[in-house]
Amino acid sequence: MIGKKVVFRSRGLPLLLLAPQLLVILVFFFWPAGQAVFQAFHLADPFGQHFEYVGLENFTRLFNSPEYYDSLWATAVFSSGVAFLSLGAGLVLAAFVDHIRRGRMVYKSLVIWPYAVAPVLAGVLWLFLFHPIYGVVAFALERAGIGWNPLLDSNQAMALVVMAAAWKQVSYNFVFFLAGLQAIPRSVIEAAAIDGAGPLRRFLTIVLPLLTPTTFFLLVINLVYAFFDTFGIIHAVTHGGPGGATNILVYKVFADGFIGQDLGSSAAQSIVLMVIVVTLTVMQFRFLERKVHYA
Amino acid sequence: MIARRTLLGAAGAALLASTLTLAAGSAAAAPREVHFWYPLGGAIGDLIVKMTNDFNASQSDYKVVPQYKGSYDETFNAAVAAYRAKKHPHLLVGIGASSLNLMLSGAIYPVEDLMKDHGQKVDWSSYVQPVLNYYRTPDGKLLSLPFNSSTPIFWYNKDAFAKAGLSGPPKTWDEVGEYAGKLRQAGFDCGYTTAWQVWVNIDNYSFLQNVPVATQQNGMAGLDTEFLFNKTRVVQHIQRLQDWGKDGRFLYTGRTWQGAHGAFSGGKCAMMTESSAGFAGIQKAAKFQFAASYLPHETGVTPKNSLIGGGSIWAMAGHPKEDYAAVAAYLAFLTSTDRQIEWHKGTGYIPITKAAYEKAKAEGYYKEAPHQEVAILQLMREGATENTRAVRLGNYVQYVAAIEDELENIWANKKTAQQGLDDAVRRGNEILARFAQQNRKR
Amino acid sequence: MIENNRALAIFAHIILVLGVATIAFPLYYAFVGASLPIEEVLQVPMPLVPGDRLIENMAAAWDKGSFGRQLVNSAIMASVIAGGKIAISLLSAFAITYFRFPFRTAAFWAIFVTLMLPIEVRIVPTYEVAANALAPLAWLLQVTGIDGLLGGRLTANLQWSLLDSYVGLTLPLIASATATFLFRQFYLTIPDDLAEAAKIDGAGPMRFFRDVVLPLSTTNIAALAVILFVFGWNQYLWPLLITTDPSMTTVVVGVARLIPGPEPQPAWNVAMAGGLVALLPPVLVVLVMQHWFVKGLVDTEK
Repeated sequence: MIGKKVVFRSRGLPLLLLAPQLLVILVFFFWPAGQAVFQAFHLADPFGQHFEYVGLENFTRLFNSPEYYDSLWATAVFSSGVAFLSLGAGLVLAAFVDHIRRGRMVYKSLVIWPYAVAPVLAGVLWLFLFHPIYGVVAFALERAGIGWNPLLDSNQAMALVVMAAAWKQVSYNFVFFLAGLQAIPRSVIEAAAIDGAGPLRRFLTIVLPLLTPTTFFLLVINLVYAFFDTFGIIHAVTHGGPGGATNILVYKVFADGFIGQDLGSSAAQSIVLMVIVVTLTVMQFRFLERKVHYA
Repeated sequence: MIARRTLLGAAGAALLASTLTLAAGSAAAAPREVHFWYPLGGAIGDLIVKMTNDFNASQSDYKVVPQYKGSYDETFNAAVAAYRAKKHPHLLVGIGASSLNLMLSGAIYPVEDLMKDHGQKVDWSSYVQPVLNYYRTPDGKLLSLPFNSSTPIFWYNKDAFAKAGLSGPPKTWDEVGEYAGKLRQAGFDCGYTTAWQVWVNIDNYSFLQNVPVATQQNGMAGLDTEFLFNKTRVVQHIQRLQDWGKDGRFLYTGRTWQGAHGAFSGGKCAMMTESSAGFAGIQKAAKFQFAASYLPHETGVTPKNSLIGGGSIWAMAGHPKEDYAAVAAYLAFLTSTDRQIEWHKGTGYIPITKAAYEKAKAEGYYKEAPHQEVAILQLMREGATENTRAVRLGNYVQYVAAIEDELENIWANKKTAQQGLDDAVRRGNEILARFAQQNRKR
Repeated sequence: MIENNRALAIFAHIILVLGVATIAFPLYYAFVGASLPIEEVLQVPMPLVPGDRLIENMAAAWDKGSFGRQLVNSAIMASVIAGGKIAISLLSAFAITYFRFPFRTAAFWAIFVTLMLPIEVRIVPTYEVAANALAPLAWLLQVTGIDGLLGGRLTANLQWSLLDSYVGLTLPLIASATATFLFRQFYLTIPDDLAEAAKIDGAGPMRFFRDVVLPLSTTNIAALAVILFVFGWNQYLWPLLITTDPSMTTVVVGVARLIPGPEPQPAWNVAMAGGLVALLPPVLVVLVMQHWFVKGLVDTEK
């Protein structure tokens, strides 16, 4: 992993600095997570009455199910869609807010607020907007002669959950892109302007490279978000339907484990999902981070 | 906090500690606290709090603390986690479909035993039997107390019927099809829609026609069970709905209830199958005359009773014996006739005692809410068989999701009804087998 | 001086108005819902024009939800979580970027994977550890045999329940992979010259941290503070699980309780009004933090 060229020398200090964080995650994450992982090799009922070692059965069951492969594909489509849409929208909005002089505060506030809508209400809101029967946007689409039925049309259902998930994350990306943009020294951009570079060229050749540390951070975080933090939206909007079209991996983990109480299978699925995402993330650190422009 | 008992020197309490026998030693004890977790928000939750407060005010030995714990799933998980850390509540509202999980959990105290052990004499025969049956063991012991129960009934838009030249509700599915066609001709977007498609069009459909949903008496008689609905009349029924879907006589409006309500109240679909508890929500939103009737059945079939849905109150094991006297008193309070009527009227759920039904009827309640009586009479139909007692299968969430998936494939015309139901049964059976394996060593 | 491109500015405003309209529309719609009487909120579709019942509905929500205490709890929870996350992550990221030590990469990944197992999946063991946070220590003492040496009485007494407490609401959520990662990204952009100069001046790492790294991080801290405050504020499942005492619950749980099921009077308007009440404090934080943003920038560069 990339580190600083200039470093301080100390043995104890870095460990001391890390200690609070590590202690918290040891007790409140690794301890319980370890027990959850243990369950992946067992068959158990939720109340702890029955407990049986089953080896890899929870895993083989998964890989023998055709629906699981559909779910993998849905996850790939969903995650890339969410990451692309939320990063793109966040960057465009941040770049324009950074560019203008008037009304910055107003735009900023309006983009950030949706992030503060309690998630328990957000799902309900999406239905009030997009449900084909009673959603107001669905009505508008119907008036405009556009057939809208995510209840049965798989692609529309996918588009809907991608939008809902991206919507929740746009504010987040916007905040960090804007912070990144505002940290770029004005002098650098002015120098380029004096050299005759137009606004778009300046943005592409100077601003964007300087923004790569933020972009890299957001890319990783958004993918992790799409992979792990979106089951609530799926649950509220589509329940994984129609016909399993939006049944992404983490929703299956949630539905089987939290709702369905099949702890063994849910834990096995979590491990598979974790392996996939850790691999993806390590690859990003290995290959993508080389292109990141640090100081 | 839970099950804690603080001693309090309040002298006044002594005066009131009278009828009940538990007070450990001294009379000057603080009221014994009982914790009750429930998953019902909004106005229904408010009514639970209100009734509980009434109970607390009616005596001074016990204090029931009602606590909203999120959705059914969240409440159930909270209870499981708390049970394993020995911090669980005394009472818990669980969704009916989780009954098998709770029954096998070893974490519950059957309500029938609890009432008997604590001197609450209950005449169970005065209860609405099809409702109780759902929560009984195969040998007849009542496990939990039915609480928020409802059953699906048939709703229709009277104004739309008049416009299409129709009168009265259809009695059979053939008539539903015919009516739907006429409604379409009269310019309506759709004929018929349904909420909770699996509950209505597979479970309840099977109940009314007296065909099994699964082997082993729908799971009542054993864990080694398999689905059967790809081999019964359900196939023709689903096939028929698929056909209707092609010309707009049937419209799929989603897995839960909001879509169906929207389509019905918005005047889109003039016929709907939905829970009997849906009435007031429709009433608030609909700008037309509507009425309710019995679920349709097949031509030539004498329909059986329908299946209930909703939740029940479970007592959890592992608390001091004295606490359960409080629990028993509270449950007795909730089942008293007046409380049942208050609950029935306030929530739209059906009453669980015949006395409450008779009294509500005598008061003329069913003149203003005839749909409620439809639901009760439909449930109380004579001649229940082993096909119409309950559906007691494990891993409910997973198998319902699999069936919903496949039904959606049918509605989207990706599969024929037979293919879709075969796939649903195949996937469902794998899920049932897993549950059996998960629970076999007992 | 950068050219003053009027056309571009107009274009920017158009895009921003469209973008903001799209993003803020659901929020506006919630506002509309919160301002309608119940008959209208149940119309299909719900109207697009606000009604006049906003205050009434908010009052009803306030009344039903007992929001007063819950708002205080949420504020405490969100501030402690945001502050705590920022503090421990600033330090962790500093250790990971500015030092070389064994298991440096491992430490980073250990922090990072905490994003990858949602609480829903590990709910029972997580609750158990909250019911007794010293359980892992007890286990350690037993496994290592230390407990046996002390006569086995120690572990039995190691009890620390976090249920129904502010510690329980905050401490388990205080680790932060995102914040650590973000600060790492930021530290990597700090020119090496600065650290070099500090070393030449004989400044130790903590001095360098305090005098150079921390001031430079202001913008990022402000941005993170907003995000993390909202994160903490919006926590739902955790407070729902570990609090049973009504006086310890948070406002988001209170709002969830207002959401109607299939029932006689589905009061969506009151639920949405409750949602707006719960939204106000984070909005306030966003506004205050924006002030910080701008101030920091004026001082340094623009």
